[in-house]
Amino acid sequence: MTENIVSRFWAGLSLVQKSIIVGSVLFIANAAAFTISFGNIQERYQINFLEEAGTAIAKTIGESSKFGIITRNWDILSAQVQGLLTGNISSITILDVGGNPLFEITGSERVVLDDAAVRQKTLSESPSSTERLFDPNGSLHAIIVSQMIESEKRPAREEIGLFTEKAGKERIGTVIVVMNARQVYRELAESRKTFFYLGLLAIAVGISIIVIFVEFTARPLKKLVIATQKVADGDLGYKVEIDTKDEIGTLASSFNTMLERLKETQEKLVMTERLAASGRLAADVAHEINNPLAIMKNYIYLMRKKRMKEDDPNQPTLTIIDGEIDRISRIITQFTDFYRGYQIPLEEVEILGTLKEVIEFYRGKLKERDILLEERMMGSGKVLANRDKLKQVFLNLVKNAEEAIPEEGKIIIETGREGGRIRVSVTDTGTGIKAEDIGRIFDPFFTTKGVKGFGLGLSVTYGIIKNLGGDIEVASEAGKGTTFKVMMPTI
Amino acid sequence: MPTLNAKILMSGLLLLMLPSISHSNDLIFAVKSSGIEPYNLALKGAQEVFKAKGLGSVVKVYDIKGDASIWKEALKDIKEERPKVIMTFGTVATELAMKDVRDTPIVFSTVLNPEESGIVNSLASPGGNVTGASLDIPVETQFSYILDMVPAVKKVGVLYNPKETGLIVERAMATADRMQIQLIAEPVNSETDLPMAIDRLFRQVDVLWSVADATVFSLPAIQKIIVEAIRYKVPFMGISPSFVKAGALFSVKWDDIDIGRQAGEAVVKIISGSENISDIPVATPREVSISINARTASTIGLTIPDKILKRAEVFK
Repeated sequence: MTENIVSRFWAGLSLVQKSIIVGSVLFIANAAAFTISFGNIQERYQINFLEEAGTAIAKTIGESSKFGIITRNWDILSAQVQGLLTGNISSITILDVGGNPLFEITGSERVVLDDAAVRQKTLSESPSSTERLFDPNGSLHAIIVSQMIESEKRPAREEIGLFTEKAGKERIGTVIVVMNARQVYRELAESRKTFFYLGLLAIAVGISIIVIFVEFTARPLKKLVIATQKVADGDLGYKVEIDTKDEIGTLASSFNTMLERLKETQEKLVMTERLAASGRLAADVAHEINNPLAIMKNYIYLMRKKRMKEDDPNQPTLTIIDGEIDRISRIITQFTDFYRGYQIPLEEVEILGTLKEVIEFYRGKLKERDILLEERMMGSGKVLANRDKLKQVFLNLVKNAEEAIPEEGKIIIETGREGGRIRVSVTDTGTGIKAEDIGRIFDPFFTTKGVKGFGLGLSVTYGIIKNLGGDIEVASEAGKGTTFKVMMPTI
Repeated sequence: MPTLNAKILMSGLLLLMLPSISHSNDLIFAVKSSGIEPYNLALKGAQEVFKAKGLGSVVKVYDIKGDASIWKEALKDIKEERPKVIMTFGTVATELAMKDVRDTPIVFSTVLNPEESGIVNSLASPGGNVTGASLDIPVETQFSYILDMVPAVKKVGVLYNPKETGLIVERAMATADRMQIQLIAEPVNSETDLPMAIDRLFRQVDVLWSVADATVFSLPAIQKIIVEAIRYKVPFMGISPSFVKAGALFSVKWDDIDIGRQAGEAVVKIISGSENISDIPVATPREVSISINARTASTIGLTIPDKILKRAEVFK
């Protein structure tokens, strides 16, 4: 249940929000761990310090109080001890060798000690000892430091005269210093409070930094998001403007490149669609035109044979009209052939043989026009196609090349294999195609030949090759010539 | 059930143990405060006496090295073996023995000022289970040596801590009066008082006398007093020949072995039962002589009378 709510909540967050939450949680955890461990270290340090301070004070008193103890001079003793009394000291007691208190001074907060235990300490053999007293709840409330007070042993009377060596030391009492640990805990609590607020401040500053950092990092990502949305909406011309040098910058530039490619591909696709659509439209129109043409031709025949004499002056005119009707009919046939191309049965066709048939058919014409023909047959292969259609393709290409050459020139026909495909290219040294026309040369009815051409040859060629699963490309430079390259998959 | 053989064996063992228990009352234990020479010499003197009286030697000797915990070990033995007399050498051993042993006679030796230390009530009748041989040379004897050394003496000075040697100085005042000497006593309550006290005293006295005062004569202070006495050209009578060796002009001197002999004689009296311990007065040195430091004498420009020089031990 809870898991569901959490995962749903998580799924509803943006990447920026997630980053901020994860960063903040890590930062808070870090700050908390640091605060706790610092607190512990501080506590240990403070208590050790208290213990060391107690030991040092006890030692100092042990050294300085001898005179006061021996002479029982409480004024001197009081002055010496008073000077050492600090806020952390609960009491300082000086006891005689028997453990009876000689002198006591108390600090701000007195810790009541068990008299018997204290007496025990004063009788112990060890020169100094430290004991930690705990409350029933386990917290330290006092540190008791006891220090033996020793004095040079007084030599025996005869020993003065005998000049004996050092007489050694003897115990003359014990000093007990009780350090108040509660004060330390109070100070610790105070410093923890300060530390806590500082921690909160650090967390606030830290989270702000994380937010700013994530925002800065995410800004280009957001741009990318906007870009993808624009692209999804169909705006392929959109460009992401990110110039950072990091991964996101690289991603953006890749995205831009991808957009450019996508745009090109789409343009190609649009053109292909346009070609196909216009081809089908033209074929439909052509089919509809065929019927009236047949009727017209019929009536012209009737007029010439039955209503007109052989030498009627209108005969030549009607011959021209009849010829033009034939011409229209041919165009229509070409179209319908193209349209019917889908239904034509396919067969295995040997490319080189087909190409050579076309070359032989055309060789005479080229010779007549003084056009050199160079053949570079570097490979062949069988393709699945319709021989007549394929012949038509090659014939169109060679014819196109011949027509592109105004006076004299050269046509190069080349074959070769590229991967699993066979390549046939036809290059001429003719007039070439202008750059602005090159995108439209496969369009139906587009022609640069003026009245001479219908503008159907290349579009039919294009249609056949595409129908056979091949590709056709053109490369041209105005004034220098053109190359058409056909690629067909081999069997 | 123990067999007959076992019973015989056990009775035999018991019979063997009896003699050691029975003769423990003849024992004399000796407890030395430390291992220094004067205690050893005194013990030697006591042994001489025991040998001469056919008592055999002291059975056990303890050196407690000034340490109360070692004394506890000795005390364990004493309680087990119950010696007839305990001999002590030096104040430390004597005081420890007196504190822990009440039912056995204690005979001390090599103790200075036992009256002032509270070891005995008086030299004449010590009281309790204690007597012995002290190192106390009567003040009168000491003053007469001063007169011998410096016949023109009028003012004699002494440094003392009233809390420690007040009683001795008080009595010495009376003795000085009798001998027509003015005794000027300068109190020293702590080591810090000493430089001022020396300065005050040394300016006005002809001779410096001394009492065994631990406040005045701490080891560093002894050196200072000796040096200052020479600088002020005050003849200084030290407590012992050790002072003279260190640079004091002179001191009276006792015989360490003879002190031991005196204590030994007291032990013999107790063991033989001829006298009760409380009736035996504390002995004082019977052989007294003088030690002189000739170099100090010439430094301070003092000519020592020939009659003294003849019988003196002279350090050069």
